[in-house]
Amino acid sequence: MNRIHFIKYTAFSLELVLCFVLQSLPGFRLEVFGGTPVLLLPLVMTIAVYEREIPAIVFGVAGGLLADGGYSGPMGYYAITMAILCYVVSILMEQYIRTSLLTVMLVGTVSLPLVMFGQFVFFYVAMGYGNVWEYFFAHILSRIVYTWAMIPLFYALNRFIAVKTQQDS
Amino acid sequence: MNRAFSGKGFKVLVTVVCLLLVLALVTAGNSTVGGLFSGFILTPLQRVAAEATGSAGQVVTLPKDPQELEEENSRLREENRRLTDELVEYYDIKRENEELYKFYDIKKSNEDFSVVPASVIARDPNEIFYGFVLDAGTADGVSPGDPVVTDNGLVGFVSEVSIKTAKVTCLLSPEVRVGAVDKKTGDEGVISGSPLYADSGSTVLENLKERHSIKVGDIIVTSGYGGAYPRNLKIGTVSKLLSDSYTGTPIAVIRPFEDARFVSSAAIITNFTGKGVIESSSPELPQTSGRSAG
Repeated sequence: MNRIHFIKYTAFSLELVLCFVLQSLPGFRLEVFGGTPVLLLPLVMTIAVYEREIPAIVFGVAGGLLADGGYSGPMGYYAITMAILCYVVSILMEQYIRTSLLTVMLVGTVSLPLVMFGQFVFFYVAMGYGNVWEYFFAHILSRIVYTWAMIPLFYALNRFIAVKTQQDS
Repeated sequence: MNRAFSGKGFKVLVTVVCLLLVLALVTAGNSTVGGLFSGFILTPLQRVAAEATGSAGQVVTLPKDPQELEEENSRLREENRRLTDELVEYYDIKRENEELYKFYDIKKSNEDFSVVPASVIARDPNEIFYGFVLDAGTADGVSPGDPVVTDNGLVGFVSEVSIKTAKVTCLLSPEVRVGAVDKKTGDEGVISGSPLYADSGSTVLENLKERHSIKVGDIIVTSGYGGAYPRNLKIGTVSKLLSDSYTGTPIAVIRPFEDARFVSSAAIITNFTGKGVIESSSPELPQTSGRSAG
């Protein structure tokens, strides 16, 4: 790994840590309409846009483990889904889709709700809690929209890092 | 598309997913691995960040596994049930204590009284004169005719009694006949309820002399004549002076000190000095089908 890669991956890692801290900080609630965003999800997705499969998987797993650690329950759900998501995004952007904000937003429109709805199904519906759908409409739906709305911010940031390091190399 | 499912990246993905599945399975039944990860990596991060923003006290609690949460939940539920029971018991004892204290006052100021405290356990909705049932009976020494009082004054008398209960006919009922006297003027009469005034919580002092000196606001107490009620039990104040619409004799509407409609506890006076002794100076009081005047 050369110096440029090291700087890039360090920047991505710092982003991961910062987002994890921000989204779990009790005094810093980014709540809108009852939902708080899963910042790590659009972050790793937009990292994967500019990375090859293996680095994408690594960041997906890292972000997923951090996301899992922030929730109670067994670890692994976000790690697995985000690893798969990052792999798929990486392959799609490298081979099939031209990278732009619009295409990344479209990919996010399909993938983020899938991942987050899956989490709702595994950790709320399957657990047999009462009033799950009220909870879904009160919190999960706004969380999905809110998380999706964060894509442009992370896209811009990671694009800047990727382009800058590419130019330097 | 081939590369997507056969390349090096795909093999790495499959391996990683398998490893993560194992991790998920392990942490599903055991929080140690997840706890270690959270405890050593995530929590310090969160704590530092929380302290940096001045909200360390609100730091997110460590994730717990479902079994631990379930155990904690059931323990808390059990504790909550126990505390609720204790609270209910505490309120019962507190209320009982307050009631007994009131009756202690009655007893203290009337040392000759034998008092049985009791709680109202039933009110018959068909009883239009607001009679009620107390949870004391013959087993407690209660007998028919015993006066029933609260710390505010006379409420009525025991009209029926069983081993553990006593039915009380209150001052609002026409069945009641209580010898009473105006404490200020000494004018005597008989307290008896009237359907006209029962709903407003008032009773009537009748059998007054044509030339009485009773005024509105005077205090009426039991006369003690007849031996059914102790002397000087507070009854109420005069609220109106009228003439009986049938006989034309003067009557006084009395507002009892204790509103029998809302009594929740009372004391039954089972014995007192002069019980059953008919004094020679007692006024001519009519005998009724209900209660003889006291």
